[in-house]
Amino acid sequence: MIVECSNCHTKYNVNEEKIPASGVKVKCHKCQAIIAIHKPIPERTDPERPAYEPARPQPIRPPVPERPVAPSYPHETPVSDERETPVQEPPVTKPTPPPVAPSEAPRPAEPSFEGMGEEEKKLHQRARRLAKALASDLVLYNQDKVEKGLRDGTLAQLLGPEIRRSWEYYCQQVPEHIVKSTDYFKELLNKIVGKGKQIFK
Amino acid sequence: MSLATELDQTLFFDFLPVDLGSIKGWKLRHHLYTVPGQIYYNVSRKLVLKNVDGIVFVVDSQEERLEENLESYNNLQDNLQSYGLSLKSIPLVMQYNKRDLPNIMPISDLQSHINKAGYEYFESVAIRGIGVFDTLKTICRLTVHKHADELPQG
Repeated sequence: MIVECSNCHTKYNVNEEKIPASGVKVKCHKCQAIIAIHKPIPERTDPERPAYEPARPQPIRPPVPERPVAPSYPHETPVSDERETPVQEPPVTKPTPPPVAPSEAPRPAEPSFEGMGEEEKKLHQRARRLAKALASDLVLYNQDKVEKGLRDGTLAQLLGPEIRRSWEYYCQQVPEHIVKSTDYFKELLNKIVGKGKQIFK
Repeated sequence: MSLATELDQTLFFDFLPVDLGSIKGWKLRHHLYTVPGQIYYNVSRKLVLKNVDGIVFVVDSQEERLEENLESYNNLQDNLQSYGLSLKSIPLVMQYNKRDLPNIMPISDLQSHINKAGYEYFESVAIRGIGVFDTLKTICRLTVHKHADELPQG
């Protein structure tokens, strides 16, 4: 199967037999980004996957600052030149578990890391910690605005630019699939900046 | 000193040159930089770390800031890694700050959470100047020791 690095778009030909059922993460030879590889599924049994979940075997974006989107260009890397290179390297992370079945129910406020591989769990924990740190910083460096905003109900307006910067930084640092599938940023913003009120929807 | 950041905002950081005599006939001057603490000013922090010779990692000792400290330490490692550097080869001193506040963590807990590598550390109350100079002296000493052997005779 052909796997493409989401960062530098280098393509690799990977022997499917070497991919464990739970998938594997490998490092791109060219740009060192992490590529998550899953076995291709012949037929999907869960048709109601949420739109935000990347379809397998699409690689996840590595947790590095996002670069400008590269223009789509023809396949410039010969696939055959780098046959199976990624899977020959030791996996940089433990295999990730299959995605949790989708649900229409709202996401829980407290995260449940059950069923996640160790590496994925760490990514989630770090995303949550970053969200908490960004929210704490907002309070620490904008105490007057936070107090006034809470009092007058103008928190979102007063802190708008700072919140936007925090969010941009969060999106740069946290893998896209976590940004899209969790509410850590909003949750911690409400908890720490909003003092528990659901100010930010 | 100022620099433009990715957010088109101009930031300032402190830059203090300190002359400290000479070594092997070479004049020795330390350049001290501070970095912005707020997390999203990463461009400035990263820039200052380029070719860094020694680091003081200042920890907010308050219990509720533990995660922020860990995040910051992670960020430091990431930024160094982006330059091909590692804390394994750069002298670092921990400065446990705000020791005058009531809700601080015991030093042993801070050590086990943040200073797993066992760097030299100092307790400080920076706003009163307590512990700051000890930290500075130590990082200067470590940095000079690291580079003194590499210097040819001047």
